[in-house]
Amino acid sequence: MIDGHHIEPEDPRITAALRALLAPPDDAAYWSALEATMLARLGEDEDWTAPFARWTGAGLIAAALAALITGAALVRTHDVEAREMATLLETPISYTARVATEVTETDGREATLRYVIEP
Amino acid sequence: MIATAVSPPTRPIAGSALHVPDDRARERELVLSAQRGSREAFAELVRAYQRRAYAVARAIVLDHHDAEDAVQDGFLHAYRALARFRPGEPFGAWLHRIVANAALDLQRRRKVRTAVTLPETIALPFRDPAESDELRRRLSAALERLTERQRSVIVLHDVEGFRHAEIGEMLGIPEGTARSDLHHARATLRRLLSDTRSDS
Repeated sequence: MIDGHHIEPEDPRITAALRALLAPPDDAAYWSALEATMLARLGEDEDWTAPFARWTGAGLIAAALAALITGAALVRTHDVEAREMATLLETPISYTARVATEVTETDGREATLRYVIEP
Repeated sequence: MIATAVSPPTRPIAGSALHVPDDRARERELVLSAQRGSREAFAELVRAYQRRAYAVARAIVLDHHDAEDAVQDGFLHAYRALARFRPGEPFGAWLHRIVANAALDLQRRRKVRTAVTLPETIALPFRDPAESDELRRRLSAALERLTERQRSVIVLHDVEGFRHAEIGEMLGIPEGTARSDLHHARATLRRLLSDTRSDS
């Protein structure tokens, strides 16, 4: 068992055999070829994603334009609605006030007349 | 624009012909260039680290072709994740973790595909003990008797010279577990190969 102090010592014979068994290729041409393969894969990866990247850019611009147009339309609609609402609200109030004034004035005149006429 | 090549490797890994670049400033410069989109800079990082990355992958998957696939996958993942790497940190440790993960992933996929059943005992007959590759042949078989993690740990430690903490980080295990795995792996190989001798 391992107890923190004792680890089975390394066997140089086994380590040497492991090293020989798993040694990386020693040929420089192999590494150049592997590097080229990897860089080609990176290129393919970029080529594959590039159209999406362009679409993403175009999509973002289109979305921004759409948002601007929608926003402007909303503001304009809101303004029109606000004006209509103001008109709607203002008109009855003045009419009512005029009617109320008129009614009040009429009532006042009638009362005065009644006061004068009545014995 | 990369003006100079990465510094020649200067620090040999214990017991190995492999090297890692010591020039951290140069490495940082390359990483920053690669992060800005320089393929040339990334190519230099590939050149500087591919052997070591191969060794890490080979320690996990054992098979040469699988190790090669894992290295390629690892570098591809690293390239995609480059924006998330903080240039002040050691690039090698970050890359080795990615390559180790790629190797472990490959190993899992292979295992699911092949579902090989290991024999209870090593079936290789003990032929002429003077045969030069006897130890190597028996070693290949003996490695199959270790757990995958024990195998990775003993190769990463004894062959590649990684420290327990580095191995733990790469394989996602505590340092103490790496020590324990090394102990058991060495003991098992010693027991299984005790009756073998080599010419070397």
